[in-house]
Amino acid sequence: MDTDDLYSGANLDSQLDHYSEATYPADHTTLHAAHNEQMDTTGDTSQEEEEEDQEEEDDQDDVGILTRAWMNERNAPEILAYEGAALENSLELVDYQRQKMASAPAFVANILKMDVDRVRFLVRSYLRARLAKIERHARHYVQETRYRERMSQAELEYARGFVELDVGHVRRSFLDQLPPHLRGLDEVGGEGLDMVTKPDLDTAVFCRVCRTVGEFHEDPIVMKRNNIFITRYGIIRDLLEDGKVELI
Amino acid sequence: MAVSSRQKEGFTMPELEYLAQCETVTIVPLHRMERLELVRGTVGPFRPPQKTQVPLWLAAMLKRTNRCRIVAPDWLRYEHLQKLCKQEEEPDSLFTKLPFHYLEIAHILLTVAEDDISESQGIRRLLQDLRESRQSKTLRGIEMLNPLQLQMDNLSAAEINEIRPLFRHSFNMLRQLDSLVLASEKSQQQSQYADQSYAGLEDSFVSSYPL
Repeated sequence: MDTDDLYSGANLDSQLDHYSEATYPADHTTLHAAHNEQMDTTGDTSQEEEEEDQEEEDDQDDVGILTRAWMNERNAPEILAYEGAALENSLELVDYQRQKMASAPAFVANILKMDVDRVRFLVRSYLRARLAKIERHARHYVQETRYRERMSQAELEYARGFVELDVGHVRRSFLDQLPPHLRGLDEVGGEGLDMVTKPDLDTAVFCRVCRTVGEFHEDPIVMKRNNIFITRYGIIRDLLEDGKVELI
Repeated sequence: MAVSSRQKEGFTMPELEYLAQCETVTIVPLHRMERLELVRGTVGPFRPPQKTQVPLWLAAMLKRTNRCRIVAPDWLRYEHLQKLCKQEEEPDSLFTKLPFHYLEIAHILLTVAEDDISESQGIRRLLQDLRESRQSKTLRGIEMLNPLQLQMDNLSAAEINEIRPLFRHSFNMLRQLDSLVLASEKSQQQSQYADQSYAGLEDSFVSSYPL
């Protein structure tokens, strides 16, 4: 995996203590909300629209996209679409900044390094979160087209290799000694018991609404921007894919 | 192992701080410095006494090296927090509006820039009060938990992270109980029909095999 050459084992926490990150174009929207607080109880529509535009702009920033993808990935039960473009662009930016570092005065170089390290942390943590999910339900992800499409080439290879190792190990250690009709690894038993484990799509998640959805779902849930819900992942799955909600 | 077990239940505290450090704060630089091109945009130029906006991680770093003064955000003022505390304690009130990462930001600012924040001791106390009344409110919220959804606006990142294991577990438990109830209702209906249709049969058995 290309993660490993970027970052060796590394203790996330101690790395974080030291430093480093990517500048957020400030969650202005959140701060704004705090400033305007008591005033906007009436919910001025024009203002809400303005804030919505701002949100769209935030999406343009590759590292911002990656940050959001990381948060979603860490909270969603299943593997999500791979943010390949944002990740590549972020790494390119890192390379570019590194070249600049060489010619910058020491103090500035120090700041640039912190900045770059923050992005590197994000990339690593994002890829690791995905790897953990792949290892957990490797066979399911390899079998389903929709999940295969969500993985990068490297991840897919990793998942396939993982399944091969897993199956090979189980076969060698005991399965080959069982009668042939007991050797299956993909049987479905009664009551939905399946040998291929799947992520629990109905588990509880916390989500925040990014763009007003309005009434949603049977027994309508009214979703307005910045509302926070705890709900079943399955209910908001499509909204998450459309970027209308984010997991927090 | 790609992810440690602590990271499977939401975020770790340092990770939350990482996210909070992306937020912007206002600083007053103490040294001249040219524009800085960072990965996520340009900051500066830094011209003392002109205020400028930078991400929190940079502000903290400049502050540590004595190159700036941090301007406390409006919500982190004594009077404002006092007002929020009062609102928070009103019965049946919702959560008051605070920045999504308010606890982390306040923690970082009070650690690195305590001398830039007036009445920092009082602010610490108010934050503690605020946090506690919000905490008890969230715990009361668990009574309203149902297997469909629960709205909790203005809850902050750290607070969500704190209640995540408990709420997720309770939610999933309720969901399972709900599906059991549905299943048993169904089978009860079926067995009612079954009772009726077998009623006659039983009679005939009784008559032919007296015991």
